[in-house]
Amino acid sequence: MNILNNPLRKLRRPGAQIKPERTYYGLKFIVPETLTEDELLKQLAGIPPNVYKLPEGEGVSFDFGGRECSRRLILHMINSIVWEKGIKILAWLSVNPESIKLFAAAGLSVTEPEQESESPHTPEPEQVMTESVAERRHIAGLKVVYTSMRSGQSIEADGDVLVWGHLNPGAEIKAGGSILVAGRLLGVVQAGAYGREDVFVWAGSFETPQVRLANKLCYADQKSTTCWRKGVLITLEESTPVIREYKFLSGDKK
Amino acid sequence: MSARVIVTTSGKGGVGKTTSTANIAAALAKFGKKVVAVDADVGLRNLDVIMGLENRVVYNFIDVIEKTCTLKQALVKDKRVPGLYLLPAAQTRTKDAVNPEQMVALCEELKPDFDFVLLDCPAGIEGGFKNAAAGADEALVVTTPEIPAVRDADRIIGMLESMGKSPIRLIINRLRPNMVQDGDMLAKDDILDVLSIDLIGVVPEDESVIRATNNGEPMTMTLDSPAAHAYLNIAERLLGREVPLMDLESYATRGLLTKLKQFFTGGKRRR
Repeated sequence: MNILNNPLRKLRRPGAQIKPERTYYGLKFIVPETLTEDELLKQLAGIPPNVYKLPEGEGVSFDFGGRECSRRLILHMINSIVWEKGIKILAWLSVNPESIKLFAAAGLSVTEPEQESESPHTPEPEQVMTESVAERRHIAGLKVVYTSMRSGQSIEADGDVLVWGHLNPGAEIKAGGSILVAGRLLGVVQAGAYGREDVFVWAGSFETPQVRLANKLCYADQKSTTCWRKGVLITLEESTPVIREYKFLSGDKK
Repeated sequence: MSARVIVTTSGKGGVGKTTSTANIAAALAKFGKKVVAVDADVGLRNLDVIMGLENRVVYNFIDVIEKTCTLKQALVKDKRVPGLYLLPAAQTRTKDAVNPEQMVALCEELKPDFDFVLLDCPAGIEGGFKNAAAGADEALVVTTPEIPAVRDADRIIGMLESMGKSPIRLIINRLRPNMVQDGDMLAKDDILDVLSIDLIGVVPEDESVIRATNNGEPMTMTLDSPAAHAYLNIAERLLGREVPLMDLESYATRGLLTKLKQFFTGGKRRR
């Protein structure tokens, strides 16, 4: 299987790279302290706009760690990131007293938004299913589709998705969590769409030329993998997609 | 009398929607039903040519919608088969000339006078498809055994399902049994596995389709070819009769034997 990174890969290389992290209120961008301000601004400007497309009511925060932020940096970020890209910034986080002081003086929120209730947050899944007649159920953060999904149909969900049928060619699932397709996986799936790497894709029959996990893109075909048309589990291990055919021993001894 | 309104659609172009509409309409008329084939492909009309009625087209259904003429004036009667009519599309207009509500109203106007209204849908999933599908209750989805056509058919089936059309049935057109046997073409079961809808017929690849199209005579009028038999079977199944699927392998074998015979005897191909 060939493995290629998607356009977000530069955010995820080890070292001084901005790292997005999924939170209950949207995305948190963790900014390495080792980056210079110019590198930081350049990386922020290079983030694809679709990364910021969040469900209604959600936003982003920036965590600068111990960095001492300058007025110039804040002004540049507001000018070229916030106003230019229309991003809703919910918090400017820092452990540096000078930075906190600067943010507060500008009227910026320096704490993360509070969770609305004390119970574990289960955000309302963003459900987009175009032209679909598929019967859907929502089980505690898990979205279940009880029919096959046809070409052109798509689902977007914050949590996990289970398709109790086939995912036909041309159908798409984008999930913040993991994806399980009980039947034939012929369409496109993206698990961990908001950056989570502790996700998996499970397919009853692996027949898709492309799988996306977090910010990794995997290509496959009949020649490159022995798992073609077999049940598989695909996970990320040390940021590398690993595909495993499921072969269970029954325990019977000959 | 209240007609069954059936849209023939596919998503992908060139898979045989218009040919299927013309042949099924002619076959149903041969079974004694009163049928109107409506060309819903505004701006790219072809059904009149395939049915051999292009010289008799005066008005079209856009004229009916715009009340330039009456429905009766726009209908073209096929003199070869009793009960077969054509309602042509406008060639000089675009698909924006009609909207789904007008199409529904047109179908309602046709229903009392016919047993079947067959709507020949344009390719694509935009306005033309939505207009044609709006007036229909049932759908025939035509696909060829090619991956792009099957994928487009799947898309269309999803849209038809969301529009509440039922039943939606599949016609597999231009199947080549020899290629299927050699593993070079999708087999019937491969297609059904993806599309998961009822199959109403399989039409083999047949050069007589090209002749019939150019001659302007639906094949089901003469029953001189495997494709004609396949379309006739589809018409019978639409009428609720139980007709087994054709043994296409025997057609493939017969074709080969015929060619060998022609080679050795120098016999001419039947026209």
